[in-house]
Amino acid sequence: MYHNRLRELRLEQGYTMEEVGRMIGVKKSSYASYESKYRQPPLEKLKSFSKLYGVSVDYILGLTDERNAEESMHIRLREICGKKGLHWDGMEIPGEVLSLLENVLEDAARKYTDLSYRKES
Amino acid sequence: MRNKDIVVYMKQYAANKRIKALLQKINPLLAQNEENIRVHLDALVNQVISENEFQVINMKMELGKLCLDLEKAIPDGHVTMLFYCQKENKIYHGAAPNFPVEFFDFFNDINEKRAFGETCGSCGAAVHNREVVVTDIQSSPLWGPYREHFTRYGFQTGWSIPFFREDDVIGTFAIYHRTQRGVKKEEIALVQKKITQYQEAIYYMAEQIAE
Repeated sequence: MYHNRLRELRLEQGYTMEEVGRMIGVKKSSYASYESKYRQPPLEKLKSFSKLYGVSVDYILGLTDERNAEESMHIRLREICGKKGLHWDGMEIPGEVLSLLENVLEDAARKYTDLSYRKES
Repeated sequence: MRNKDIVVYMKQYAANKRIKALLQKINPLLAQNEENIRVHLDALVNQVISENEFQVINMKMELGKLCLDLEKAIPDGHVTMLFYCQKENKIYHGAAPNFPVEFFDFFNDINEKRAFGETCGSCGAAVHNREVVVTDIQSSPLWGPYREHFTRYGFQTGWSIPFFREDDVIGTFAIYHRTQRGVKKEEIALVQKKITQYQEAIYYMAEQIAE
């Protein structure tokens, strides 16, 4: 798994094998051997990859699909907020529409209170 | 937007709560079980909400759907849509479902200073040159005063596709990427094809919003 992740991350950033090798302090051939699964990167190099790409070592090793702690928190928060959210025919309501809705409904609540008050009196 | 997600979700959560409280006040029975806001507005329209208010919200959601459709077609793209008024040379925010509300505050600045022109980002160039414009945000001279704003949100590539009514440009879709990348001819063709499909719906919605 680590070999696929290393390749994926490198290509995402648009680096060549030589560039990554230089950045983490190994020769291009050594780096290539990690991507081809011929050799396993030592712990020190895993830490360097983690720093270079901003992902956890667990992600590089394929133990999780969440790239880092922030992403994992973000996913959980999205789930929690999503469960309690209003929607528009099943579609999530964007922030700007929520603001608009809030303004419209504040006015509506005021009108509604006035109407109820008039009916009572 | 990934680096703003947590803040955005918290804000949306708080807004949802406030809206639910308002609905509870106006229509407590419906508010108890119904989470589809369209159903709520349908019940309130022509009583405490005008038809016009309902239409604007409905159109905003529809325009948002078009942006989401484009984001599906270009998965690493963040899509926004703006309307352009040729008579006033002003731009108006149409939709951008995955951007925070405050992202477009700089539109006011542009309109107040009457600064919208050919060198106003990829959208300015697309509107004035009536063609698709692809830019590297870091280095293109088109981004001048707006470069910092866009790079703060992590955007490195921006391209804009104008859309027309008869012969007039009435707006653009802009697609931003967090990586420095080129845009393939096939991607441009795909987006243009989709925009052509949206055209009728966009005219209709532009008119409804303008009213």
